Amino acid sequence: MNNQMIGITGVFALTFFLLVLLHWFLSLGRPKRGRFLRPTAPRGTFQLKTKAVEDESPNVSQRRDGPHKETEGEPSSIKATPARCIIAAIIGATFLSAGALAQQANEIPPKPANAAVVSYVIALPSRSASSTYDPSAELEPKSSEPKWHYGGFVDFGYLLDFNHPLNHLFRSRGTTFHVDNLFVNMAGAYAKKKASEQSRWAPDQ
Amino acid sequence: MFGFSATAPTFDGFKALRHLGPTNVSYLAPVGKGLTVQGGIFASLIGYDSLYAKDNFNYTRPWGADFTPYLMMGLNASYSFNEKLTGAVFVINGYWHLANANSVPSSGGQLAYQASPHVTVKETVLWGSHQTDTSLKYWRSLSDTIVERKGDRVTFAFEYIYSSERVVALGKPRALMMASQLPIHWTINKRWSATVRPEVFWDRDGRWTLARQTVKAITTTVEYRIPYRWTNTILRLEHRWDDSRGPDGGFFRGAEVAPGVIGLTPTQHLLIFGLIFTFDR
Repeated sequence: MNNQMIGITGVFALTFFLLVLLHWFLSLGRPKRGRFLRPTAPRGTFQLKTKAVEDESPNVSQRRDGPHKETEGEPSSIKATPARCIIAAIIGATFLSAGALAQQANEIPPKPANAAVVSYVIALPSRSASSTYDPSAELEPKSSEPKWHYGGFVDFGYLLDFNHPLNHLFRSRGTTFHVDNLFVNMAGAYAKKKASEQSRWAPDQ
Repeated sequence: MFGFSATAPTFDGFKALRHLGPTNVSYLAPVGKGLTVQGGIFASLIGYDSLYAKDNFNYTRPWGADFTPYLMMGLNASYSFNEKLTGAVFVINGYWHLANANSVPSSGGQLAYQASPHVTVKETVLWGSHQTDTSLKYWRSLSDTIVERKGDRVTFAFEYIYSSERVVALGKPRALMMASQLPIHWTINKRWSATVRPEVFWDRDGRWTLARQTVKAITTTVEYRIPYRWTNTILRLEHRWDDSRGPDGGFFRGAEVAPGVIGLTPTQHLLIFGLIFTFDR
């Protein structure tokens, strides 16, 4: 097994470990479900939780925000205790610092030449107010003040090129042009708020 | 790299700006049904695919996306005329937001029409100078047409991009770029999905890629998602076949054929593993 394979395996193992750690930590303090059936609550006590869907215009949305409709997880019912915040921050910082290190290791000054040049960017992604699909915006209650949303992501990729070029480059490309190498293509964090009649100004970063 | 130009100089301060994605402020003006004005760096109005793989069907982006703006820097205003028709106009610093071809801003507009609950048609145009000579006859024009049908399980879209400009050179030749794609996305269930994307890209004069080439490509992706509370882990396995022909076409292959020169071959197969972790609150 060469160093490259060890590196790939290591990064995937680290990611898996962090996910398991996160899962374990979030499950702390949650009551365990018993194996046996329990009597259900009387129907009268059941409350249907619904949120008004914002009346958005259908198409301002057509910005370059990508076609994918994200499958959102259920809203969390876990409160953000200080300890949980610290753990989440550590995991997030690990991902982001991995991205930053990868960038430093691979940074090449941009050239006004053939597109296959620079590596990856730590970007601050967000969907604009007129996004194609903004789940958080759709769930925004009509009556309440718009909330801030925040998040982040890290994107690892390995492109196996059967031509095995010595320079490890996908020719004439502006994105994902590193081949035969594991790469942190992008990592980022964002915070945003949607403009509304209640709050007409909305920063997005 | 995205944001930079192959032919124009770099924008001052690019080292800081290149690390920024959409960074802007919006204002919902009380005009009619609400006019949204946005200033700063914002997601480009041109193109079907996002800069961020997490928001796309495939892990790698199509050729047409890589040679049109992912981000724009300037101002835009959008307005919904009715439930079906929305319009937007924009003024930006140039074709590439990190390039500084000249001091003349570029501008454009977009109309999006929802023909039916499932079908959307969008047309975007861009017009502006991308050379040091800012005479009108040398301005670059771009048209981007997208038709998308979103079903419950299957989404397919057709995109056609056309761009052209007269080059400041002997004989004032006209440079031309065309790109088209037809992505088909099938959501199998909550976790699994698959996408096939055939595409074609033509840089007739090498003005966009610096290589006169015609590229055909087919990208096939299988995706598995693990949603957990406010996190999402996306695993993608992708195969990509590219075929580049023309006077300067081809992909790098093997070792150097001369000092500092890697050999070229017309076809390329890629097998791609992607892992994307996101959280959103």
